[in-house]
Amino acid sequence: MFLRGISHAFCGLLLLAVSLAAGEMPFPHPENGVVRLTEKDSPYVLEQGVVVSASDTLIVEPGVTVLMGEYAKITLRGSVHIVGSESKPVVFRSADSSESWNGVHIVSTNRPFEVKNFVVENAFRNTVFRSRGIFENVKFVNNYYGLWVDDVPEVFLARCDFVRNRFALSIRAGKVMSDDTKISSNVYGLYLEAGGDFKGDKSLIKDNLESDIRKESDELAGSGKRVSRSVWHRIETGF
Amino acid sequence: MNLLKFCASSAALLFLCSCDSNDVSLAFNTENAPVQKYFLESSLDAMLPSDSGVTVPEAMETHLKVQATLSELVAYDNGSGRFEMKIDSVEYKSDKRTVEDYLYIQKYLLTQHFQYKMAPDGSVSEPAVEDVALQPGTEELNLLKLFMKVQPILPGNPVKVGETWERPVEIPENGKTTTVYKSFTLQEVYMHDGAQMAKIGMNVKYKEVVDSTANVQMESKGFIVGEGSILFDMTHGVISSVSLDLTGHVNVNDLVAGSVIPDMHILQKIKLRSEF
Repeated sequence: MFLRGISHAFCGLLLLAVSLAAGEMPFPHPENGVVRLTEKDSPYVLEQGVVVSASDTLIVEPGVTVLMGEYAKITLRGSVHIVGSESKPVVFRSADSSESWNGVHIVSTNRPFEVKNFVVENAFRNTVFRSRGIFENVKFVNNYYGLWVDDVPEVFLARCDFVRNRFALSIRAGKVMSDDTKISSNVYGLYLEAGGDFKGDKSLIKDNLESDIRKESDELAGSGKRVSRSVWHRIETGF
Repeated sequence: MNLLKFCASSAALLFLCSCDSNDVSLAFNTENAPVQKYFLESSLDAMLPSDSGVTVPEAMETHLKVQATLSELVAYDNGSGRFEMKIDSVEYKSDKRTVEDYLYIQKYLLTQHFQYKMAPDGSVSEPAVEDVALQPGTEELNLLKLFMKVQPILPGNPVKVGETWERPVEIPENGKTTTVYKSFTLQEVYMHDGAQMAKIGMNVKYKEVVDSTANVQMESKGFIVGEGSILFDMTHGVISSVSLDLTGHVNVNDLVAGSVIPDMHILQKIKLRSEF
């Protein structure tokens, strides 16, 4: 175990050293309430967790790439403007394509988030919790949970793509308005848990390996069960 | 120097232990505690019986095994110390999660190093996960909470075998604080491998109160009760082992689904062993 710890620390240091040698920037700290990522300083490297607090704003400019270490986790509680362009999308992906990273978590943001022309790859889970906003031309690629939406008033998906995720889109207690969003070539497409509502063209949810659309309430009723995933997990984390 | 400190501390502990032929004083070593390996295991079973034959019985079984290293960072003038628990390895399984979920949870728990201040009687203050960016969310397991459930509180004054003392312990979590009432009885004092050991019985009870910010709310029916025992190494002022079995019933209200799962039976077994 000690060796494993040494190995992790060594890998982290090695990644940092290689990154610095390759001109990669560490993820920046807020300055005057703004965390700004610019193309000229890209690519950035994030090894561990980072929280953008409720009083701060994240601004990511077109052409920025952030390379994530395996423990990287981005929690966004403040204003979020990840705005790439069609020709210069913003990319968040793992530094080592064989390792996943934790994901992007938009949590209890006061102002609507804005995420445009963005690619998020290889994350374990990307979540929106108690926040509203728009994902426009966002590609969720090869994540375990592409996007997990929980307890939200409204999230808009415009021209988004979900590809090669294990669970592409999961919605609980919230409404997702979808426009021209394709959910294809994932293992599971759309999963609707209690209170989950998807408004949009469901014919674009197709060609997923195991299923296109699943509804937890139907699955429970079909098997004579009453306890949902959320209830089991709540019990476990409560103890 | 460390050896001198250790000898002085051991002598002080032995002196306290022998202040009366029938009385023993129990105290954690917060001056120069040795680095300890902690082995924590927790299994949780939740069971829901069938509902008049309409639905099937349901159950969840989870198991968590953690190895950690406890080190004292600072000894304060007031007798308390600041400790750090570094998580070395995690094994986790749940029959309600996927293998990838296990792996994610294992990886995430490996980052949950935490610190706390501890007084010589074992009471813990300022518990906190080291990396604020990795604080457990409502859907995540919380090692600090498990540890605080089994942490013994010592009497603070000399006690005789058979004597009982009670202490409430506040365990902070997301959106709420749970008060766990702990009662201890000194059962036996004996020598083992050159160390004086105290066997202490432990009973706990607490109410699982609703977290009003959550949309899946859990509330216990009456108290969750637990029984266990502690082996405390009086010579070195450290825990040798703790076991605690908890049982109770909870109602879970999924506000979003508009459904109430009543009377879920819960069994939790927590074991902690320490080596140095």
